[in-house]
Amino acid sequence: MNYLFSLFDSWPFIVKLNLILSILFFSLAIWLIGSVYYIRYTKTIMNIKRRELEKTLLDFISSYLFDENFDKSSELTKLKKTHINTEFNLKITIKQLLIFNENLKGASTEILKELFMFLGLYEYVVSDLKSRAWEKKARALHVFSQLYIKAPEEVISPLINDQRLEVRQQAVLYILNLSETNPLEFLNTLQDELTLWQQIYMEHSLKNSFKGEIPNFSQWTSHPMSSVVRFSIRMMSEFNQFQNIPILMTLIDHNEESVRKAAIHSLSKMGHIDLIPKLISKFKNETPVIKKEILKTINHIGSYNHLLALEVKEITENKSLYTYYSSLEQYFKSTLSIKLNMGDLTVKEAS
Amino acid sequence: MKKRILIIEDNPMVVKSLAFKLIRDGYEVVTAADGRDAMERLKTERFSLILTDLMLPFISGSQLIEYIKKNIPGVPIIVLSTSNQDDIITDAFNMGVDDFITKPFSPNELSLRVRRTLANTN
Repeated sequence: MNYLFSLFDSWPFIVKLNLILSILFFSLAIWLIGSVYYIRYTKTIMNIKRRELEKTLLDFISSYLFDENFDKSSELTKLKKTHINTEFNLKITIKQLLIFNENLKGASTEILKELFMFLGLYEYVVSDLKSRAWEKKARALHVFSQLYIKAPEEVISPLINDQRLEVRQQAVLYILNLSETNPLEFLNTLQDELTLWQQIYMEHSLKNSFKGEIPNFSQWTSHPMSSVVRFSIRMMSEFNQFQNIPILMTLIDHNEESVRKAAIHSLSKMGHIDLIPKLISKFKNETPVIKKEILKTINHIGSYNHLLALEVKEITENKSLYTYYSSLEQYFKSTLSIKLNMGDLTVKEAS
Repeated sequence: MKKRILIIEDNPMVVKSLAFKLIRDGYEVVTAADGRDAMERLKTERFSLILTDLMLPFISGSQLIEYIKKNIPGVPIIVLSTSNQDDIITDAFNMGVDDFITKPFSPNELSLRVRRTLANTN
């Protein structure tokens, strides 16, 4: 040993440095390769365990749902003792229940809820809701809203205004899925703008899942969040709330361009033809975006005479607007000439 | 003699539930996890009813229905699909399927429809 040290000491500095660095990088490479193998090995073991548990749960849940001779109580206790004991296993069990819930309906979904409770998963998911980790909160909300299971109200309410968008999104879905009376009540306490995805989810839930009475959207037309106002305006036409036409007419003069655009669009969709004279008088002083919306409205519910009534001097400066105006003019002219030709033919036939 | 039902479905959970329910109803159940496996079985075995998904690996449900209608026309077919679009349902009926069940499905309702379809065929 001493001989090796004295030999090492006798070497020039550069050789010593070379040797030290070689040993260092070699060890690092060995450590990295070892880590990769270790991670791959643990992942494989986890996957094997996951597949085994999934198979056990598949058999268990199927028997629980469809086998009348299945001893539910003792098998449940056995499963809880042997399998529902680690966080990893709890997550897989919840996932399996969600897959069953997604594919089955009727009495089976009620039994799945019962199983969820008996396995002690409710307490686990509620503890996730109270967790600081946003992904746990979002996942917990997703589980409750998919299984239609109510969570404690005091835990849900603050999540509507959570810092993370993902949590807010899941909270909205949860409320929409589980609310029995006013599914949009949370809008009253909303502190952040609604994202486009949230609005799409909300509309989808109102149309497809919500069984109660659709709320009157006029209650949110003076909401401080512009996205809520726009969403409400859009929903008025989606749900044919014709009683709100006078409110929509006032929103045409709103100070925010996007709100004015939404109001014009909704009124046009509702076929409210009395809107056009007001739009014609506003046209001159409007922004290009609103001008285009007015042209679209004339195309949808107006006539050539309405188009001719517009003051279009400034339009030529905006290329896109001018192109749209010209194509609309061409469209009306061609429809008019077809109508005139048809009239000629009728006259000739009559004579 | 027990009636044989072929379930063609790639979701193990759905297969397990269907098989469980139908076996309990007194049928003999054979399963195929993809279109290719199903085609092999259709060529060599006889079935009283076929329960199939439309979206399947390798050979689609529609191709299987075409094959069944051409080669074993008397066998009733029930489609079990996630799609609830009118055109897909109409297409399936135009191809000659006997019933169409959308997912999520109620196992009790499915059991009744299987019984009704088999009774109508007899």
